[in-house]
Amino acid sequence: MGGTTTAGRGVLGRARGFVTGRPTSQKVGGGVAAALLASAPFGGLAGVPDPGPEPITAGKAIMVGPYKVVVDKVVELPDLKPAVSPSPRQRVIVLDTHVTLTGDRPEYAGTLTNNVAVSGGGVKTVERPRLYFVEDSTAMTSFNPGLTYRLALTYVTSGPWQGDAVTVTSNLVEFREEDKQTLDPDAWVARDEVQWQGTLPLVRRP
Amino acid sequence: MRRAIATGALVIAAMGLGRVINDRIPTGDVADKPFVHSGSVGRAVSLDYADVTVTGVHVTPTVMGNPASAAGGRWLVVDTQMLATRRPTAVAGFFLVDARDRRWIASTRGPECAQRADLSTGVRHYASVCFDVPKKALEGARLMVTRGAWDSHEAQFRRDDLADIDLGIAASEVERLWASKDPVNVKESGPVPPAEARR
Repeated sequence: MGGTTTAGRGVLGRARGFVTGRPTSQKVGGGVAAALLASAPFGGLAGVPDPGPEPITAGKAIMVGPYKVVVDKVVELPDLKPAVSPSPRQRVIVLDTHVTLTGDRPEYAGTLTNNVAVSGGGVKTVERPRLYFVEDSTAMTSFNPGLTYRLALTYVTSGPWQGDAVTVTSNLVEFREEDKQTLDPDAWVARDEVQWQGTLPLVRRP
Repeated sequence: MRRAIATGALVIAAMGLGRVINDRIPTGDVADKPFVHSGSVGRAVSLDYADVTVTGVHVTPTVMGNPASAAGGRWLVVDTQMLATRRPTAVAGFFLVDARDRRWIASTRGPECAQRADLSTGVRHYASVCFDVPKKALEGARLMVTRGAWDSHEAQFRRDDLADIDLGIAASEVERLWASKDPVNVKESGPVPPAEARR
């Protein structure tokens, strides 16, 4: 028993002697490492948390791939004739937007419409979203760069929206310069990751 | 023994020749390019499948129709006349190339603006194509006409005939054309020639 105590004291003494003999910088580093190790059970060694999507707010530009999009307001309508004529039970959610294609080449609208979604109203969107020029209700399916349009991004819903707010999300859309697997270089590719998200007030119009 | 050495030398020479072809001959630059036939306004360009003529060029902020369509920039409206020479042909590729080699695609918005043309053999077909473009696209603009639609890889008309027609817009004309406010009345595309002359 007494031998064990003596041996323990011997080890501690040697450790103390070892630490005492280290330079100050090594002592500080060792202290920090020990503190981090001690904080591990409380999350001290956990990775940096994901910052999450960036916010969408009315009137502020977001980038959806090559498109600069400003959502001005969100409106619910029974229809958007002559462009959108849903059944009487359905409704149309319209993102009233200004859209500019940046870059230096034309793009088709699917890169935008396939990557912006609405949710939070307790109803389903029953058709693919579509884009219409607000002034004349003509469909917008392609863009040339450098021009800005006021466009209605429309979603036909299965019924009236529940609540007074709409959550708008946009996927991360990245430019892929090379892809040896698909032989589809220089393409905008949507990732399964929400890059932008925001909750906007819903304006109802009869 | 001598035969084996000769065979080995032949194999090595063939591999070397293949390497030289791969490294020195730019096959990738030409193998997928279309066959370009150049022309200008008022002159027919003969392609393997059709003759294409640009008969008019207009710049306007408004294309008339039901509804009238306002441009985001300006409409560059190109009137064309096409004639399929051998068999019924679908022409789906209309796009512009400007003086700086940038591409601009046709709009789907104008109600009578054509995005494609289905040609019957030997029957003249008239179609106006509308491009909504910024001012910088006007100088030196050329109309490209081909069977495959434009995509970012320009893959739909590889090794096909392509008409490259200079629209005759000089740099000195751009300001005047851009300032023009007269709307353009685009006629429905088809075999009926446009009744009224414009510009």
